Amino acid sequence: MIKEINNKEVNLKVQDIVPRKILNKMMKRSNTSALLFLCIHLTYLAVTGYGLYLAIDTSWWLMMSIIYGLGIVHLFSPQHEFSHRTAFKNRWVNDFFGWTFGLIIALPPVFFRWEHTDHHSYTQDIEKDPELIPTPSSFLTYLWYITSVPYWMGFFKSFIPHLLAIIPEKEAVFIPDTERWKVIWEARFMLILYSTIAYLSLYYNSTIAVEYWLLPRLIAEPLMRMVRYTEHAGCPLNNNILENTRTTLVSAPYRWLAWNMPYHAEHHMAPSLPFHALPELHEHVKDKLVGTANGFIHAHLDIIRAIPVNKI
Amino acid sequence: MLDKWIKIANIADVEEDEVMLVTSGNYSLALYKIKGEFYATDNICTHGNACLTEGYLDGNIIECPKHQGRFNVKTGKALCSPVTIDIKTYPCRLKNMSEVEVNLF
Ligand code: FES
Repeated sequence: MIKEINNKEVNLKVQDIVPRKILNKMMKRSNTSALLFLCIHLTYLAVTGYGLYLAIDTSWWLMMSIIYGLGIVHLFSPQHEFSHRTAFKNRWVNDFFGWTFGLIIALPPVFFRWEHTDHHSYTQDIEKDPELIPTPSSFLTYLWYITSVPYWMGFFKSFIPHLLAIIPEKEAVFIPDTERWKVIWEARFMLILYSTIAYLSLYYNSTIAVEYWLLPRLIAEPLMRMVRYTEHAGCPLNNNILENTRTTLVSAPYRWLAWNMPYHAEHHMAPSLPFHALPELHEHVKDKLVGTANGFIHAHLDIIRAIPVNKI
Repeated sequence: MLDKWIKIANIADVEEDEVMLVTSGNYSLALYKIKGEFYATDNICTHGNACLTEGYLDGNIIECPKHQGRFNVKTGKALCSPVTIDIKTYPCRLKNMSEVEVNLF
């Protein structure tokens, strides 16, 4: 259900809805849950990666690349959880995996952590939310975003200045002075790493990195864009935690791959809550949430309905 | 030294290993119960505008929900980046074994 877009300021907090005692219990971090989800994700990659290996010279190659690539692009889900440092109990373990997965999906972890914090602070604030994905202004804009071209353009618009030790003005508001050198050096490290992989691939005449990493990563990104679209696009541009984020109800296997992130309104209500507690929080708040979607088709229909009528 | 002990909670209000928001006048405090002892700190993180009572309490350590800066609840010491300024702590005492009092001065 799409609600009329408004700028109503509501200072509602999750503690106003769920008793603090219950929240405190849900907030406990669990290495077991993180390890379990990690095993599920890695098993998905191993099985579909083997499928891709078998399909490599057949007409099934593209389909297997997409299926395997779905697992690669969804490394964003744990990476996001690690950036909140809520997956494992130990912050260094979170940071280690955050770095590893960030390098695989080309998401600079330090930069992302600071940008993402501001996204949480200013969710759906058209001027301040650095990750705001606007409601499409036309059906063409909707499709254009899904191609993932705008995503990669945004990536380079930030990555190239970082290589040159420039922090663009828009980013300077959320990256503190003390962290800027890390953002610059992580971009340089990524460039060195990827260049080394490219050089070794050429030197050894190997297609492994392209077939099992680069192509699946790129081919499946539009699917990730479709998922990311559903988190906020079409939701009201206000700070009401019950309205400005969309929870999408999906099947259990997909929830496992996405580390429960489709419970996105719940995640925004309590970013310190670990991913494994989101289904429980959902039970406490589901009757109050506005705009929960019953699956991705429903969520995308909501977004399309939010396009101004004369632009469809 | 000026003493101003004021009641901020009933003992029964706070569960073990939990943090609770308490307000008194202009003060917004985080009240912690750790191993049966009570501790109080400012609620607003010294790094930014975030409430520690919305953060994660792990033993003696409270983690800010915004950038995961950490403070020692007992001493107020800022423990890791990005927090560099200690958080103010307030002495707590029990009254009649039923109330928690805090000294704001
Ligand atoms: S606001 Fe608390 S660590 Fe930044």
